[in-house]
This record gives sequence, C-alpha cells and structure tokens, in this order.
Amino acid sequence: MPKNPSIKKVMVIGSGPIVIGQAAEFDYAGTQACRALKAQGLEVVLVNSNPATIMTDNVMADQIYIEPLTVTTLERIIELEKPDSILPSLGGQTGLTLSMQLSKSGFLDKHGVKLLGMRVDTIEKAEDRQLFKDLMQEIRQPCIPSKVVTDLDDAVSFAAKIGYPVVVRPAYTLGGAGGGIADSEADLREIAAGGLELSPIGQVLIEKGIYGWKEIEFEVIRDSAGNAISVCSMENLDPVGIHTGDSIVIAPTVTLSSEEFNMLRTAALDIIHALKIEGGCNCQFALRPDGKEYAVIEVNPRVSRSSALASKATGYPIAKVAALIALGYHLNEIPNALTKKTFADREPLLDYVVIKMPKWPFDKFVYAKRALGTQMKATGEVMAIAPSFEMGLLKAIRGAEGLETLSNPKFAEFTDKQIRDNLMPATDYRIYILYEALKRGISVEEVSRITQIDAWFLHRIKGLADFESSIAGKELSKDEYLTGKKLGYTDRALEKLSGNPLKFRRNAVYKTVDTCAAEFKAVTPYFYSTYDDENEAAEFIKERASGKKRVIVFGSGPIRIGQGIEFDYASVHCVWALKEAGYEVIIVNNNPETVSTDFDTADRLYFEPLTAEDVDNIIATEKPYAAVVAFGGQTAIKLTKHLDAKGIRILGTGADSIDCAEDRERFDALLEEIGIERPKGVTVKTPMEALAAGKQLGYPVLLRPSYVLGGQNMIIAFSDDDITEYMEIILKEHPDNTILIDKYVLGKEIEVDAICDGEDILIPGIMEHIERAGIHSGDSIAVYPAQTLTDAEREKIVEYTEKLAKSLNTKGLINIQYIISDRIYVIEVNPRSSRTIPYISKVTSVPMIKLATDCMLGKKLRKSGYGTGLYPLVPYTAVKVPIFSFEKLTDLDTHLGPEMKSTGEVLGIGKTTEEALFKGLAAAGYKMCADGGILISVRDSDKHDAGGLAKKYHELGYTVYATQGTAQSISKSGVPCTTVDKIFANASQNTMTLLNSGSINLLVSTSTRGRIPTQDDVKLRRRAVSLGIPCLTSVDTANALADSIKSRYSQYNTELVNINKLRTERQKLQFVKMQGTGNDFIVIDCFNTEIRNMESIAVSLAHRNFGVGGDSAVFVLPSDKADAHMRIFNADGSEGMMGGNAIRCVAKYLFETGKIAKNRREVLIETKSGVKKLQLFARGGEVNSASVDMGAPILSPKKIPVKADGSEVVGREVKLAGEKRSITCVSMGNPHCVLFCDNLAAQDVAHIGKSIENDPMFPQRVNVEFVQVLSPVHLRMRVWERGSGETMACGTGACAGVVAAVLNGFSPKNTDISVRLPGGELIVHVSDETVTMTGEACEVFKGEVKL
Amino acid sequence: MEKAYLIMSDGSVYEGARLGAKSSSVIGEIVFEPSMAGYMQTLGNAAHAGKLAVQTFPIIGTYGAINLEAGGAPVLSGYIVREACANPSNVRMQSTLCEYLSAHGTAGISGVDTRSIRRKGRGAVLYGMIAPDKSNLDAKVKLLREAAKAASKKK
Repeated sequence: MPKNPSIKKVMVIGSGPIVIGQAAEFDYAGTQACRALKAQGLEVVLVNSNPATIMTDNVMADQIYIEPLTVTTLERIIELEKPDSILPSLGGQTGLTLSMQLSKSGFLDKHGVKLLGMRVDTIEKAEDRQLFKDLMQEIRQPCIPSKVVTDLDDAVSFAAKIGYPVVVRPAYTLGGAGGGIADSEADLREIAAGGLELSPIGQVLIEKGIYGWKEIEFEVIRDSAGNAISVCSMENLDPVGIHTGDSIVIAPTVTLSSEEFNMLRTAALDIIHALKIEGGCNCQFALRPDGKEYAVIEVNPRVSRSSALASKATGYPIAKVAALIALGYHLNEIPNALTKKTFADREPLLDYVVIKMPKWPFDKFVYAKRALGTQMKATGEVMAIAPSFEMGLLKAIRGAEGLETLSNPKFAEFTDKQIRDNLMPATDYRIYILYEALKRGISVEEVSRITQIDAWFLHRIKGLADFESSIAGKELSKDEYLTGKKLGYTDRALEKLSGNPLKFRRNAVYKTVDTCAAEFKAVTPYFYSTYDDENEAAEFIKERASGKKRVIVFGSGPIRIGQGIEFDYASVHCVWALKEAGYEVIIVNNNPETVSTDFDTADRLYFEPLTAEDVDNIIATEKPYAAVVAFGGQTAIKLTKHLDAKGIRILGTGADSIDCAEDRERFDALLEEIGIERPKGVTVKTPMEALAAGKQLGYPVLLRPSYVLGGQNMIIAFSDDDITEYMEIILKEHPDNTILIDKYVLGKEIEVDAICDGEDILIPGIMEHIERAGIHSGDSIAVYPAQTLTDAEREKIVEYTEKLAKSLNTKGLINIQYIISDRIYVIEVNPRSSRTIPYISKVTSVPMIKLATDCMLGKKLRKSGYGTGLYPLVPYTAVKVPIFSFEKLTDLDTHLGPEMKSTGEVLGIGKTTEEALFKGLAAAGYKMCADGGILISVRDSDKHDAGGLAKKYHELGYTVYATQGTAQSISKSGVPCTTVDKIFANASQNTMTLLNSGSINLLVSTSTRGRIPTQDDVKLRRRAVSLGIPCLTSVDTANALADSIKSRYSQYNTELVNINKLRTERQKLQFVKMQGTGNDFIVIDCFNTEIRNMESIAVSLAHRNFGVGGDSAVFVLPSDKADAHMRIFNADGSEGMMGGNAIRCVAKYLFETGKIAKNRREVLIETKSGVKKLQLFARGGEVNSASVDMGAPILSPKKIPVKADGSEVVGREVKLAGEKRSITCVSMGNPHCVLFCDNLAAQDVAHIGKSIENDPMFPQRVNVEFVQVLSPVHLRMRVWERGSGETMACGTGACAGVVAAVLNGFSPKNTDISVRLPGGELIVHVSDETVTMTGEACEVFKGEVKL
Repeated sequence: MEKAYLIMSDGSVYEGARLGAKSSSVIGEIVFEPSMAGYMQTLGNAAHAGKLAVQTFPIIGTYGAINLEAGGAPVLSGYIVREACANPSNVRMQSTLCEYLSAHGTAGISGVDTRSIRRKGRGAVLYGMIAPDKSNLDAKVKLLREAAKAASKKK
C-alpha cells in the first residue's frame, strides 16, 4: 500500500536532553525519521528541547520548536501549527509518554490529529505491567512470576510467596530508575519504598529473581499489513540482572542453538503481532541456560537504544523504515538503500559479529557506586564490527577506554583472592576482572559458576590470555603475528606482549556491511577492518574514481560526560560542508547512537576505533588529501600529534597550535607575549607543598592533576582541609602526579566561540554564565547574549579573542573562557569545536561549522556574507540549562564544581532574558512553584548572599527554612526564617526530617565540605534527588530561578519560537491604544501581518511600566463569518472569550480605518464566544459609543462552569474565601461570580477576588463582581478579572451584574439599567432573549512598539 | 592443526585448517548458506546434498553439535567455515562440530575468508575441492572449471 494521502503535516516529538537511559540514540532515530518524512514530501513539525542535536538543526524539519517538552507546550504548538498527525515512537520514552497523554486527554481527537504507527492501547498494553502480563498470557508467552503492587506490605507478602531474590521494577521510569534486586525482606523494603516514590503512578512490579538466565533481545519490525521480520538478535555477555545498557552485547546471538534461537524469534514476532505495532519493537527475553524455559522480560513498542545498535549493526535503518511504515508503506515497498536491489522485508544477514561496549562515567565520579544492576549507569557506548568475537572485543575496548588489551594495570597487583572477590557483584571493571581471573588460572567453570556468564564468552577471553602467554618473550613468526592481528591486537600491543620488536607489519583491509552477507554488491557501503587479503574499500574507491580530493573527518567516539552529542552535530556539519565544497568525505567513528555513523552521512563510513593504529590503517587505504580533527572533541584532537608525525595534512588549526594551547608552559609564555593575564598558579607534588601553595596564593584555590583535561578531577579548595582531602585522593591513584594549583578568581564567567580564518575573526555571540566562576562551563546556565558586560568589557573581550585566535594561528573554531573580576583573565582556550557551538549556531543563525570548515579550506570570512568581528545581536535571548542524571548515579554528590557532571542540556529562547530563562528552567523540569518551602544551607563564602536570596523567595510566598549559620545571615536582612538543626546536631528534628516531611519544594545547599557520600550535606542532597526535590548548589542559580518564577511568564504565554522562522530584527508592531469606560486595550491590526505570538505580546505590552500599558491586547484579524475576528489576550497571556468593552473599541477601529463602509451602522465581529452584532453611534465620521448584543446569559452551572448542583446558582449560600457568601453565577461567554454588598468602597476586592478566582469551585477560574444596588436602575460595581486583577470596568461583568440583579429581584427586566464602574458608566438592558450593553469607545493614542 | 586447502574452479586457492573427517579430497558445487544460527540445519539440508556448503556467518560451532537439530547425518560433501569453535557451550550439545563431522566422515575446512568466497560466487557457478595439499593444482583447477562449466550449462 502506498503512502496514506491524508497525511500531509506530521509532528515529530524528540526525546529532549541527553540523560542516562535516553541518550543520543534518539537523535539518530529522530533525525532519520525526519529525513524520511521530508523525503516523502511531508511538512515536518519538530519539537525537542535539546539544542545540541543534529535533529534540531534547521534543515531537519520545516518548523522546529526547541521548546519545553510538556503537554501544555505541545498543545499550544499543535494549535499553532495544526499538524494532521503525530509520529510518537521515535522520541524515546519521553515522546511516547507525551503522545499518550495528549491522546488520552482527548486533545488529539478534538484537533483531528492522528497518532501514526501506534495505538494508545498498544502503548498501555506494553507499558502497564498488568495489562502486559495479561496479554502475554493470552498469547501464551511466559512471563516471570510477578505482581504489581502499590504498597510495601503487599510487596513483602508476594515476595514471601515466590521466594527471594526478587527484582523490583518501578512503572514508567526512565531506564528502570529506582529498581533493584532484593535478597531479603529488609532489602526489599528499602528498594521498593524508593521505587514506589519514583514511579509517577506509585506502582512497582515485584518479580521472581532470575539472575543467571541469558539475556537475549530481538529487534522486530511490522507493517500495517501484518508483515513482520526480525531485524537483529542480540545476546548480553552478562546474564539477566545487569541492565542491557550496562552489559557488553554481541549481535547476533552466539550461544543459542538453532532451536533456542527460533523459539525466541518466533516469540518476538508473536508479540509484535499481538500488540499490532506498526513500526519497530524491542523484545527482551530471559532464557534459562539449559534452553528449556524462557520468559519475556520487557517489550518496548518503539524505537529504542537497542534498535539504534541493531540498525548500525545490520545496516537496516529501523527508524527510517518505522517512519515509512507509519505513513502506510509496507515492508516490501521500502527499498534497501545499501543494496538497491532488495527491500525492507528481507531479514538482514550478517557475516560478521558486532560487539557493543558501554561507556561509564565513573572516571569522573570518584565516589559514585560502580556496581552494576538493573539501573543503567552508562552514558554512552561504542560498537565494533569484526569477523571474530575477540577482534570485536579488543576493538571495542580500544574505542571505549583506550586500552590495547584486557589487562588493566589497576588489577595487576590484586591478589587472587581479591580478583575472585571482585567477580561479583559486577562493576564497570567486569571484563578486566574476568580476564585477570582466567589469566591467573581460575577455571572457566568456576568463573562461570560465580558470575553465571556463559562459558563460551569466558573461553574466548581465556583464549586471549592464553595467546598472550604463548607469545611472551618470543620473536613473533609471520603466522603468530597474523594470528595476533586476527585476534584484534594492535602492533604496539603485540610488541609489548612479546617483548620484542615486530619483524612483520601489515595494514588492515576492509570488508563491507551490506545486509545481505555479500549476496549483492553494496551501493552505499560501510566498512570495518579485518586482516584478510581482499580490500573491499580499496576496490570501491578504485571503481568509484570520483576524481575528488578525499578528506577524512574524525568523529568523537562514545557519548560521555564532557563530550556529548554536540560533537556529533559538529562532525556531521563538517561532513556536509566538505561535501558541498566538492570533497569526497570519509567519516571515522565508533558510536552507534549517532547521525555521523549513518551510512549516508558521509561518502564513506569506517566503523572503527579512533586510535592511532586503526586510523593509520584507514589512511593507508584511503590515501586522503587531508584530515579534520577539530570537530570530534578531545577524542579526535588526541590524534593530532600522531597524524602530524605521519605527515598527514591537518585542515585548520595545526598540531603545534593545539599543543601550545594545551601545554601550560608554552601557553603561559604566549599569554605573556600578547599581554593577557591568567590567574596565578604553581605546580606541586606533595601535600606539604600544596598546603604552602594554598597559603601563598590565598584561598580559594583550584586544584587539578596535570594529566587531566576538561575539568576531570578538579576541585576548588576553600581551606587546608579541602587540600588535604583532595591531595590524598589524587596521590592514591597516581602517586607521581604533578598537581596544578591556581588562584581561584571569583567573578563572572564569559564564554566565547569564535571563527578565525587566520586574518579575521567572527564572534557569533558572547555568552555569560549565570553562575559565577567555579562551576564547570558545561554545568552552568549560559546566557546569550552576555547580560552584564559593560561596553568596555565587551570590546576588550573581542580584542583578546582576536589576539588569542591569531597568535595561536587558528583556522577554524576557537573556544575561550574568561573571568571578569578586577580585570579580565583568560582561564581556558581550546582551538576546536566546543559544547556551545550548536546552541549559538541555532540561536544566531550563523552556520558556524560551515564557516569554520570553509576557513580551514582557505576561504576568507570577509567574503562569507556574515562579516567579521562581533556579529550583530539577534532579537532573542537564549539560555542553555544543564541537565543531570543524578537519580541514576547513586552516592554521587550533586554539588556542582569545576568538574562537569551534567549529561545533557535544554534550551530556552525568548524575547527577554526572563522569558528565555523561564522556558529553559521549565524545559529542565523545574516545577516553578510560586510558593512552598525552601531550605537554605550555604557555606560561609555564600552567607552574605543568603539574605537577598531568602528575601526573594519570601516575597514570592515561600516559607524559608535555614540551618543555623545561614539563618543568622538571613535574619539580619529582616526576612522571617525558621532555623533547622543539621543532621548530626539533632537526631529527631533536623534538615533531613524536614526534607522528608514534604514541606520543602526547593533545597539550596552550597556547602562543599566533603564530597564523601557519608557526609551530612551530601546525604541531604542525595535525599533531595531521591525525593525529586530540586536541589541547587549555587546561590546564583537559586536567584535566577526566583527571578524567573517572579516574572510574568507561564507555560501558557511564552512565545513559541520556530527556529526556522527566527526574526532577524526585533518585532515591530503598530498599535492603537483604546479604552472604553476606563478598560484599556492595545489594539493590533493583523489584517496584513501574521502574528504567531499573541500571548507573549500581550504579556510584554500590557505591562504599565515596561510596556505600552493596558488591561489586554486585542488582535483584529480577517474573518470569513463576520466583518472581523477579534482575539483578546489578558495581561497574563491567557486568552479571553470576548471582552464587552474591547469589542466596542474594535467596532470603532473597523469603522474609522475604513474596514467597513461609512454608511454602515451595524457591524458583526467574530469572537471566541461566537459572532456578535453591534450597533454604532457615529458622529462626524467618528464612533463615540456602541451597543453590543451580548447574547443570552448562561446559567447552567455545568456550562458556566461552576461546581454546583441545580439548574442555576442564584443567591446561593456557599463557603468561599474563608466566609459564607451569597453568590450568583452567570456566564456571558466567560464565567462570573456576582456578590452583592452594601459598602462597595470597603470591599477587599484584591484579596477576596483572588481567592474566589482560584477556588476549586471554578474549574476555569472566574471573574468576581462586587455589586452595590443604589436603586433598581442604578448599580455600582467593582470587578476582579481573572488573569488581570481589579480593572476599571468589565463589559461582560457589568452585564453579569445586571443579570444577577434581575435574577435576585433587585432590578427590572426590559429596562435600561446604569452600571457605574470605576472607569465610567455602562447601560445594560436585559430582555428575555438577550442582553444589550451600551458604552463609550475611545481612541487614546497611536504608536509603534519594538519587542 | 592440519592444513587444508580449498581450490576453486575460478582458480583461487584458500589455505585453512582441516575440519572434520580426514579424507583425501572432496569435490562439489559451492553453495552458500547465509543463516546465522542454524548451522546444524545446513549440514542436514537436502538442497546441499553432495555439495560444498559455505556458511557465510563467520563463527560456527558455538553450541557444538546437537544431532537432533541436524535431523540425522550430514548430507553435504564438504563444509566451509571461517571459524569452527573449539570450545562450544550448550547444555544440549553432544560433541563439538569438528567431532561430529569426523564421526560422520564429512570433510570440511575452517579458517578461510568465507566472505571472499561468497563474493566470487555472485552470479557464477563455482566448483570447489577441499584437499589436504596443493599438489597438481593446475589439473585440479581444470577439472573443477569443467565441472562448473557443465553445471552452468545445465542451469
């Protein structure tokens, strides 16, 4: 079946920021899907909060919103863009959950939006544990004995029935967060309590522990006609019990017999059929080692991390095929792009194996628990392709860890007992421990018995150890050398192992990944190395003979903290720029989760580790003109020296410049020469020297071991104690290390990314960090443009940047960080692509990577069309807010410092800093509560800021709690504050018990004393993480959050910014300020201009100090039902139904601007509550007043809406705003609650109005009228308008007031009743059919405003 | 490890290790088997009877020999694999693949670049010989070429 023709505009929901458990794989999947949809001629609307991805790049979709991934935002975007469908299955769990929420609430149906390739009941069946179990039972697929429980006792009694160990799996959490294995009731109580808390629906599954069974996965795909295939099978090296994301995985399965394999393959296909999935699906099975029994562990009815791996492993693009299936295509209609002969209904055939190796963040997080379990901890992964397991494994180890063999020096000195003890539980070191154990002669059987790992894998690892001992001390024969190469060893490793120089050397050759095991010739191949005799890559190059110069781009390897998806963005853009410049481009990378490793990104892909020998081999085959290292992060930069020594031309900044920026002495000399300062520093080796240095420089000081780059293992020491603690940690791991100690300068941190062509520079933007220096740039909130720079400072920054770029002979990108205190210091220079490039490129629309690539190729910035120097400001402010994965990394202190901890980021973009910050923080998941409890505990150096911070939260309405020292500082500034004891000081009532009590919504804890998990402050912060309470560790962030909450922005009124339609200058609007009875409006004519951010304009313009001033903004648009269509937005950005005063002004506007004929006295205006008819009273070509037919009042409580029984609410006694009140409820298109009173002037309108407005009795909130009856035909009234506060006059309110007076018998029907409002008089006439209101309409002034 | 050779009708020669039965040499048409987990079925596949089957998946014999899965004795004349696993692992296995082939007198060769053979076989009829040595190579190739020619005419 061809594409469904009713699909024309599709919305794709991305997965948001990179977190552990939901990483770059969705960038790959989403990008592939967007490209597939666009290739089908569809309009694509993309929503993703992640600015670092290639997915949110302007070419990937037609309309791109880098906006918070919340239901509200998505609803607003759907209303704005009106897509006909949503593709829900490619944005990970986030995209799926949001799609399901939109669908279940009925929103999608109401707006005629279809879910493609997915049914809500499918998602529920796969994700709800009980429904899933029922379905599995129905199709006779075995599950593990389990029970869904919602309380602890139930969990314990079920566990007693099935016996321990049991596994705890919380429902609906990312990457299984909050789960674990319990061996005893005590364990179970602890784990299940945590799981119940983390599960958004308070549900956990207790299931029989099946540790030791094999963990097998199948990726299957199915179309709407019911055709289904298995794309790939995968086997975990680790048995069930360790998250598949944390296990070494081999594809296809190797230890399964044909019968076992077919049993599971059939089960996977049965499951996808039963769930009726149209698209990809991941099935995880546990197989008892004897093959006699299996169980379905998990089914993901969507594209998953494993499907990214399966796609790259097989060459079968699952995401693309799934997207096409969602459009209606069948598998046999989707061509295979690799062979161009076959179709997607053919199961891929492999003639190699693939090894996946996780990349863990523990090198950065010294104190985090390294044990692996059911909760994933890896941040990324590498994949290796080889004809043997051994070669694949060694390639993977090289690619992930840089080690050349399985021998990890850390364990060489372990005793045999230590090794045995370390076999269980598994940690990230597992593979090295296994190797060490087998090498020392612990038998395969014993290791297998302890670890439950299949003997097959252990034999293989032992085989490597045996080979290594067989060549020790030997001069290698040609056969031995070749055996070694085929096992995957590098030449250097073989030399080291044999202890002899090599007599033979040879280069690798390349084989092709082609999905068909060589049956057909591949058209767009990708390659992996082997040590056979045929070189398919060389053949391909020869046949192709494009005559173009070849350039190799080195990618960035696995995603890890500090080197994320942004480098893949850069690599992909560089490939595109080089292709555009006429080069044949080769990419080398080993990360299966990325776009760069899609076989159609570059002209050729080598799926290989980014290490010296692997790179040499590729160069030997490709014989490139040049290589690029500047975009692949530190991984690629590390290759520079090697490539340079080999005589390879490096495009862009040369090896010497890179060395100069990294070598402390050379860099200091350079700075001295060009007259730029750096904070003072010294080099030490012992704790004594370190303490002396601390004294000499003065605290605080920054400590770091010299071997690290990029903030790894850095801390700021505020005291001798800090230095002592930290020196011990460094020297324990690396006793000979040199330690650098720098004066730590407090000040604002500025970051610049510039492009340099050797003569000129271009700075697209200067960023400022919200947090003062001391927090790693990757963990701070970065604001573009810098907010607090003086003009002089800005000029100096530009000057310094130019000096640094030029003196380092930069050709391409350079990233520089400065600190401004008494003067400007430079703290870091990296002549390469940086983390902020995608963010700045997207916000400024300067294609930075393309320009940088062009500069590398010798083009000049002057001719680029983007100019030189500092690029003009764009009319937006944008913030990058870091995202952490703390809930996955138990025991890690959440305190931010100079060592980076964030895994991803989100963007907030708006017209003002407040708006941008609001969006950024909302996208980051902050709840933005306007009241609640805040607990503040700050270190001494922050104490002077504590008062100001507490004041802000107090004014917002927070109750402030603080620890003793902090509380003293706060009290001095006159802010009421409750003192709380620290944990050690009071066992029964302390900060921890307060946190547990649920009265705290925000924790600010900046104490750094001890990063050790057992320390009280760390415990408190960890507790906040597990309770889901935001914990801020910098006063600056806390201040920014308060400012943002205080701002008038909400999720309903921020501007939805389409990255593809950014304004190039500030938004210019012509307006007429009008008023009727003192109710004033900013009227904006939209007959000739399209305005898409009405809510946000209303917020900006309505402000009486910072804007034009007005109760509402009124937009006048063309209408097909009436003379015009008006939309009215209140000062808070909420949309009103009609506005009785506004509509008269609109009528006047239409008359006087000639939009209706001068002889007309009747005009029709379309409003949100229908078309309204008006009578004009004109004199001398001007309208002075008008009557509006307001329609009949609505009295039914359900329609108003008000939560009350009966057919109407007239003079009813209810308890509201703390008192018994007699209320009458009327809707005049908007809800009103009328209160009659005797002394109008004495009413506390603000207080009573606000509390009635927000009372749960009124689900859509309510306008509140206070009416005093002077006589039956004279009323006086004050109005509290929802969303606006007390106003001068409210037209519908006046009508509601008179209707209420009539209903209560105070006033007669069919008579003109005068309503006196603070802003003037309105005449209201109530008949049996309708309500008419007459009043003035005046123009105040005209103007133009820039936003 | 005993050396063995695969000599093919297109003149190519692959050096590898003997797998299975010790026999002088076997000749047959080269056929390809792309399945990744079902090597036991390959051995018993009637379509391969009398032929030399190349398993394109490189690691073979991982779960040893499970007689039941082969559905009886091997029917093919020779078995060509890249790697025959010496240390298989499966509760149900009865022997290693090599032992199984030996027991049934089936010859085979391992340690050859099976992908290279598969590429040569694209759109061509190939005959091959698994032999313990390379003696009289020209004559052997000639013999194989004629067999291939005859077979492709029939097709």
